[in-house]
Amino acid sequence: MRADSQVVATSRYADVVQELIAEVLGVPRVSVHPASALMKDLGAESIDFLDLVFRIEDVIGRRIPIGRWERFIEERLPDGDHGHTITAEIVREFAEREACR
Amino acid sequence: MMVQRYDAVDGWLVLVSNADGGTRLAGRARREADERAAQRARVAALASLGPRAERASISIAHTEGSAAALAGAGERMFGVDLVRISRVAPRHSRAILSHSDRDAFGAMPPRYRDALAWALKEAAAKATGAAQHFFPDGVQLMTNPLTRRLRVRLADSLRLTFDANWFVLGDLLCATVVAARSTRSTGAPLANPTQPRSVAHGSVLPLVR
Repeated sequence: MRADSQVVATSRYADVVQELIAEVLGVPRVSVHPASALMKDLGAESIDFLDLVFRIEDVIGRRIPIGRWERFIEERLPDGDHGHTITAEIVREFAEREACR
Repeated sequence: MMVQRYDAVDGWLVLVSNADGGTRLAGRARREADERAAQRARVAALASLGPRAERASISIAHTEGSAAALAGAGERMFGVDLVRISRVAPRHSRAILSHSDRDAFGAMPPRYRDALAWALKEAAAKATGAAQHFFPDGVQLMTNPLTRRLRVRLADSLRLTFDANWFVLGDLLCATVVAARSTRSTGAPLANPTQPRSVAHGSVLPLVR
């Protein structure tokens, strides 16, 4: 039962994050895949990530200090070329983590 | 394209502006337009340095098909950022400002303060080479108590301070930061940097502080 709930929750956030990314970046929803690199594939700039955090705040109903996103990326992708490594899946992970706090 | 001598870094600042519709681009097209503009700016900045380009450092920023490149052969750390002014809302600046930034933020021209706060923090964070680590809380906005000019300081143990400059071209704001002392040798401060001169091609840019 609990596993099923987690699957549903994960799936729900995947859809929500896909929608948020499409809206913030002004790209078609179908072009956003879990492996899409937000910067390289979808044209995201640094301020777009702040807008994504704002939108996640709206979804979960709680404020998220921007430093938490920066620390999450620093820890999750310590050696990455962020142009290639910040994907929709990474954003989903972050949204889910924040929702579970 | 604007090419401007930048004495504080012993180098050049280049701005490639896409005034005709970068904001309409999205997705990969925007990224590719950014990369083309950044490449043009990079090449022009390094070419302006001539043979000294081999030992130069370069900082690049791009947004919506426009780009800025600051290349220097001097001994100071530096960074540049470029942002569309209307893109940065009060909600953005509120999210990145700490309590210690408030005085400096209040001293900025209201019309530009949201974009300027964003761009200065970005430029300084990029100057460190570890932007993700320093942005936004690791960079403090300040004013020089004597001159009231804007500065930024790293909130780490080194407390490295940067002099800040900025100018506006249409809806673009370009911010630069240059370490207030040499970061390569003994740490002895260099002379105060000369302010960048405005040498725009086609139109003269007012330097706004």
